[in-house]
Amino acid sequence: MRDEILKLLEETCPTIDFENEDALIDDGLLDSYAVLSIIGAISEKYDIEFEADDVLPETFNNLDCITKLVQEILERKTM
Amino acid sequence: MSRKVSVIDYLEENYLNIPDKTAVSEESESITWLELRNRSRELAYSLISTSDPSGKKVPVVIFMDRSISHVVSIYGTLYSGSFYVPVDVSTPVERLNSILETLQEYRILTNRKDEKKLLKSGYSGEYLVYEDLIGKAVGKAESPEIHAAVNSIMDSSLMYIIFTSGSTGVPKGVAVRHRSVMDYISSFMDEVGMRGDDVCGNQAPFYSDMSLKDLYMTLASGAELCIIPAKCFSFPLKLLQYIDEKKITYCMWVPTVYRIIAQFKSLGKLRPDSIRTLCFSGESMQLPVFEYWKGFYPDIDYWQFYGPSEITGSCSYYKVDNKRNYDGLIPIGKPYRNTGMILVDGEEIIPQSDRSRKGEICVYGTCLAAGYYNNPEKTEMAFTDLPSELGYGEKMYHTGDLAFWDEDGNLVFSGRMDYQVKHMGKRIELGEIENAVDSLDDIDACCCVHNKNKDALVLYYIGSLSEKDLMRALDSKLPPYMIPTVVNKVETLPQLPNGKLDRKTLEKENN
Repeated sequence: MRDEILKLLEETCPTIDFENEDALIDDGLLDSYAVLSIIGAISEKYDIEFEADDVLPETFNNLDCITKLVQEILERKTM
Repeated sequence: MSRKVSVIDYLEENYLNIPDKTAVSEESESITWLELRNRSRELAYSLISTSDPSGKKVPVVIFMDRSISHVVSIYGTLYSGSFYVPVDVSTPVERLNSILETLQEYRILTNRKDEKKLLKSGYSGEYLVYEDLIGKAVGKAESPEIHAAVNSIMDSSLMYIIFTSGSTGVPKGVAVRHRSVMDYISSFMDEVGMRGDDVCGNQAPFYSDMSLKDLYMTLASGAELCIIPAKCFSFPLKLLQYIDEKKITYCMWVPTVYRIIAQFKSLGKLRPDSIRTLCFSGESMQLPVFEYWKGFYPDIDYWQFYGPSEITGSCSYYKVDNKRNYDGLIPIGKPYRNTGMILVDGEEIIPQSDRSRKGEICVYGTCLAAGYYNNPEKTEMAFTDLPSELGYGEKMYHTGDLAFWDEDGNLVFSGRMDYQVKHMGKRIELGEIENAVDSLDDIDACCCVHNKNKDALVLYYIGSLSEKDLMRALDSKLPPYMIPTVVNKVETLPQLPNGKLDRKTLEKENN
């Protein structure tokens, strides 16, 4: 799933090195527009819905956080 | 009360009447009216003493993010008798150069924080650093040079230039006089108002005309301008926490921000009690988003405003009726007093009684900008002679927006006449994006359309360049909000019988 999300992120924001950047939000690499585009792309691919508690700076700071978040939302969906 | 010629006179009044009240605040810093006034005057002293000995006024390009130092730079520039040009710190160097070329003469002012971005953009010319200038002028706030500079300001003098997207790829500089802003302040304070105990939560970038409300209505009322950090606008709960923590009462945001909160159903998690007034402008407010907010705040005041940069802030206002069920759009309302708005169909002025008939919104009055800076051709096209029955020797501005009159005498917005769209609350010429794409090697043809439902910029192109490389290349040519949301590499683009690009077909596919 990590690779799948990586591919999706690279398609959405091709100028950002998601594999190596560790502080996407803290370093200001993702603006609000990019965050929303990413949420849009992920929601469509996995048919999931993000809630307010999911959309936090700490859950979007790097690829691993985002992958973990998507897994959590998917688990919540099947419960 | 003595006569006020410019916003400086309001600042002097606040300095005398409410010196210790907070004027502007950031995340971890704030400044009182006394400090704002004195620091601005010190900056003005430095600007005057480092300026051309001939005394010629050149505009100050403010290359800074929204911050206290940006506000000081605005007032500092005005106290020095000059006018300011706020620019986006994420402006790519090509666009920045185009802006500087239009200005011809200028001085760039940045601060320690944003200096890195200026250099990273590829700019290699001279610039001034805010902290250096302030450091040189401590204690100089009462210098006679400042007094002389302020006395030289007339209400017909230019106050600022704001650059907007232009269809040929060259940004247009809307040049605005002091009197237009003073008129806007009077109009807004009469009809809408703001209270001295309000805390205004700022979202609008200072390089956009939307920020006039935040900057100058807080000034006129003595309210606090509370600069909300940009990252809050990516994270709805963070934004609500910030509002709650800073006790923000008044927000004037683009509808996109209200939509983000609604999209993630955020108010159910946290509903700040402090909010009293919510305003939206810049693009149409979607009714489901408005209904969501009204569900949580049924009794507060909601206002919608309308107006392009060329008419200084907004020219019409509408107080939303919380009891009414709107079907369709919330009106953009009526013109302020001392502002004229008409609907024009060809040469004909559409009478208000002719309801539902669409025409182009044209605006006239003191609110009109002086024109596009150093661009007489574009100025002449957009600012034409007002029909003589409405005023003698006056100009009117053609907005390119369509609207109709409803049964209550309010204007209702109904779209653009050309390929200009509103995306993320910003006005964009699709032609400017297409020109940037066309300028790349390995591109044969392209067309950019706007998907209104998703607020997405959808680009179609023919060429050998990969989608990824195309996006990379655009990054240095366009500001972030103009980068296409979706890119489609295609074999052919639809054509009209005359061989021209069939834009309508692509638009239909997306809407």
